[in-house]
Amino acid sequence: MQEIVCTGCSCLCDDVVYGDTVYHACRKGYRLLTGKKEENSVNGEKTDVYRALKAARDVIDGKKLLIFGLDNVTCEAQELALKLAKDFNAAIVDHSALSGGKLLELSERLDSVSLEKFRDEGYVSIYWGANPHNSIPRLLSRFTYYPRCGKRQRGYEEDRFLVVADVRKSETAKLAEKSKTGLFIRIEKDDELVDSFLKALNGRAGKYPEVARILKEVEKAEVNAVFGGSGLCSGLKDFDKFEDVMKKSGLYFIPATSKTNMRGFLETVAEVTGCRCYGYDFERGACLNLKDLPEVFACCEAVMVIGADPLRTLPHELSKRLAGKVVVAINSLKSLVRLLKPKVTIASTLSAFSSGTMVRLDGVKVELKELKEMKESEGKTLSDEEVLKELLSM
Amino acid sequence: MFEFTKLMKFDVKVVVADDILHEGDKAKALISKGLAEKFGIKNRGFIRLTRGESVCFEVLVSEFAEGVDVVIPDGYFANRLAGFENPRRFTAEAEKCDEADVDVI
Repeated sequence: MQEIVCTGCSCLCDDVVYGDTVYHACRKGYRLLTGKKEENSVNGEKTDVYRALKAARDVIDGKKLLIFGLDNVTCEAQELALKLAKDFNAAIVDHSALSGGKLLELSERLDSVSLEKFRDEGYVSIYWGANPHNSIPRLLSRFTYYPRCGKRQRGYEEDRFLVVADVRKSETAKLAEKSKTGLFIRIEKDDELVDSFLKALNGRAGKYPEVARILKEVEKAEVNAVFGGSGLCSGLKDFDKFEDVMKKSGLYFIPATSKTNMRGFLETVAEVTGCRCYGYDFERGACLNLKDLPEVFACCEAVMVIGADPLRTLPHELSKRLAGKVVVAINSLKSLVRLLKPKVTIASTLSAFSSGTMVRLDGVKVELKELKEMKESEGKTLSDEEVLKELLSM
Repeated sequence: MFEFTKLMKFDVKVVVADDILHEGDKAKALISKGLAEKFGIKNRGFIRLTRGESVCFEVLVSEFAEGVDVVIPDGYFANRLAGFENPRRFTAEAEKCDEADVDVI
């Protein structure tokens, strides 16, 4: 039995115990840690990792390459993937342009707070377009709502104020609705709630009068935060007004994106290329945005999928463009990538079992703990970092 | 007996959400009580959503779809309908059908 860091979502829980059974993991983490492992193959036939690596290098050589995925791998592997993209003049993208990227960009301009500080001192938590019950299942129990510690010894019954703003009644919204110290605001348009906040800050009433109560509660403590989810990211039109609200109300902002290391990817891209963007095309020397994706997916000749399942995570409009391309998949778990008939599949070690660094949703770097004793059934595999190192050295 | 509800088509508000309970090999979705009543669905049934492509879902009537009409768990089936510019919230055409699509894996 060994303590590991779960890489099931961006909460990166470091208290998960893995061995014959799994302790402390949420449903999402358990499914990841016990998922069916991928196997090395070339043209659909099983092989060993080194033959697969050689075949992978051969099939991408001389082709216009797209590297996709990387949200579930370590920062070190992301850095190597960027190096590979540079060597091949390739384009490299993750999921951030589709969902979550705008929130991470916003979080850099706004004040943020670590989850540990919020656990000890946080009072009002506003989940806006987020449903952590499903997307980041242990966020409420480990950090934001249930814990009794620091200045919040009386727990959620009295010491935490939960607000959920969403277009539908989610599980988290139900919790807020039922709680004496909670509030659920069913919104139609996110911008209308932003307007209500701005009006309330100026002493006027907007479409949502509940906002005045939230601002009153915010005055009771120093640490209060908005957790913006994918709903906010896709629903909000005017990000400047939202920024205004956050600054005027003194609320901290934490992007509640569930993709494990999306924040790490954006930081690594910024470090390597010097541009704050969702992806980079080394051939053109330009940043990639949402509108560039259809062209990038259509124009490439080979695709290297690293730690991702494009058929499950990409809209069909994009994933259908991968049909007929030469695909190299580097994945730990079995996925729908096999429907793309990859030329080469390389099985890598699950990031939760390898060493390296990932960036948690609040921007804190978390060191992963390498699993010392692999189960025999899992066999020997290379980590994503080792796979990319090998590909670069060939 | 012929079901008249099978001829009905409605434009519905769809939200794609993380939903780890309903993700899986079969296309499943949650629908609001209001939409269920329109289709004459009591607890569970089947509806086809069309937005360019069509996907047939097994639907459960749930309070978690109140506020919108349909909630689809993020994944393969949701992505067949979602556009890349706004993959989380969109409208689609709904009609009754007889069975749900099954994942190919």
